[in-house]
Amino acid sequence: MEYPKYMDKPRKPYFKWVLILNILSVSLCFLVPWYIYIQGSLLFLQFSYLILKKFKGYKAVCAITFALMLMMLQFDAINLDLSWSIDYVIPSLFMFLVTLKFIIVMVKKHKWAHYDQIHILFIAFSIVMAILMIVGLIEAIIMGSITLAIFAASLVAIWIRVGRKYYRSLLKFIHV
Amino acid sequence: MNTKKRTWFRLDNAAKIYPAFASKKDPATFRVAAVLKHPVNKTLLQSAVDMTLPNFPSMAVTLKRGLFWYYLDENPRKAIVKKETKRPCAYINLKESNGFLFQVVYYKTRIALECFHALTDGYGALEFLKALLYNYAIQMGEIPADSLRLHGTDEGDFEDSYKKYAGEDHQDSPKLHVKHIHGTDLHLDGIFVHHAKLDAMALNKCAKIYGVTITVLLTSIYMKSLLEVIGKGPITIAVPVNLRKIFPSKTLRNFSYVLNIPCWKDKSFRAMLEHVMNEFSYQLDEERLKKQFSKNVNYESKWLLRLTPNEVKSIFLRNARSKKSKKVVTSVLTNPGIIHMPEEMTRYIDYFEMMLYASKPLYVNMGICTYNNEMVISLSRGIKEKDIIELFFKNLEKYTQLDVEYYSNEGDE
Repeated sequence: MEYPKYMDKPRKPYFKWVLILNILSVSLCFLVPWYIYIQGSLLFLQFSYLILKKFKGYKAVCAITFALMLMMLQFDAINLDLSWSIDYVIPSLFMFLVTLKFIIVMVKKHKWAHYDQIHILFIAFSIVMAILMIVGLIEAIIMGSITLAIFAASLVAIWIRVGRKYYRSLLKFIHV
Repeated sequence: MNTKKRTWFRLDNAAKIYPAFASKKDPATFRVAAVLKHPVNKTLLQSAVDMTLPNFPSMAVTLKRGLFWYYLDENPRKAIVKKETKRPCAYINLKESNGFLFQVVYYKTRIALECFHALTDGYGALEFLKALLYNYAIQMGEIPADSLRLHGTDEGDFEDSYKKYAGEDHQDSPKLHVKHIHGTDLHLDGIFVHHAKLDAMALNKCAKIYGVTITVLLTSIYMKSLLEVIGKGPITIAVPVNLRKIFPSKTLRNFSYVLNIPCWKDKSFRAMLEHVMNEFSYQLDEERLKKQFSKNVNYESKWLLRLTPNEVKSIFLRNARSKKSKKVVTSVLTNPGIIHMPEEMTRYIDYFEMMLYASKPLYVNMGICTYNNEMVISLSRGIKEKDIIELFFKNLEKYTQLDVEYYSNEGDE
């Protein structure tokens, strides 16, 4: 019995080299502080490449925004003070994602299964934000509260729109 | 029949490890295939898939990442039949498979079902393939279904039988750090596969002369071939056992456990047969197997583990696989036994094939399938070197004195 002629190419073990180069690049940041801007940008480009290869649509926007948050955190780390990123950058980017999602769910007639996992991750993320606020790591309380309030409002609206599927998705996601 | 619709499933106990480590390098896939007597008609095959899939809810799922565990979620999309372009047992890309954890491919007269192991084991995949072949054939003429299972919609069809039959007592399976097969990794998506086709009745007669079963005979020949190439032992051949034959389960999800057949040094063929047979009869014990799989079920039920985030658990599971599971096995040999189909189906089906993926350090593995007196032994390899395979085929002819027909997917390698 015959098999087809395969047009395959051997896999190239790029990952190991990329990892080594990244470790070296991060190490260089400790010696040359301004290099962190280059390192952060390179890392963001790498993430963007991988994200755009794997995801599209809202998932891609989400992943790129999270990569952007990471880059901002890195830039902020140059002064060993992350307060600007934690207090303003992360909440505002998060607010952007939540609002975008809210609009999509309200306007587009997609199945809830399209968004459920990202949405549940948002819940986890907002819990982390709330904890950071309680322990005092997030100092811009008003900004944080507005973000969480917008998220809570979107939760209620989406719940009303999606109905029981929302509860079922949540149950599946958190099953132990 | 219970028609209550299930929309999602927890992964069964054995399936939990696969999503943690599966990658292009280590795809955790296997293939069951049927070679027909006539070229495959794509349109009929697609409609057979469309007819079969709704009757097997445990197959019509996709893999999703939960906060604590992965789970199988209902996949409303259509499973698309494709012409074979990739090597067998390649990593199943969910984008290419429309989210399904299996892929139906065809080439000339072969219909192949490639499965990710988290979905089901060889038995489940064969049941699905048999129903698919039946639905393919009935489009060409009336065929009685006989004992063929055309539905998997009962609650028992998607139960986690490990959990159901696990007991309180548990026992460690023996852990022996063994020698592995070495070679030049091909870094290919999928495997090279070498098949040997022979007369099953004649092989059975030969096994009877030796006073053993076919699986024991083939394991012994394979053990001898491995030891001749690797040199000194210990080596272990992992032989999966279908637990449905021991426990009254009819689940279509994973329900098998491996017997690790060890051997420390090469010996005469008669002595090897006796050694392998003794290992089989010692390890193939209901209570013993129950205690061994109960241990895994018990681990899974620990609250600390259950409440550990999925990502953290995956790191531990990946580590456990590379540091422990793979260290105790040299190669895998699986024989799901004789495949039964309605008599009229012999007009359409020539023979079946079964093969496993091969990745570091399990670079060579064996799958055996028997249908209508045709046995096909498939050796998969993920390395350049073919010495073990060539030696096994040579030994197979030497110890059985049977005529063997060979073919492979090597092409002009």
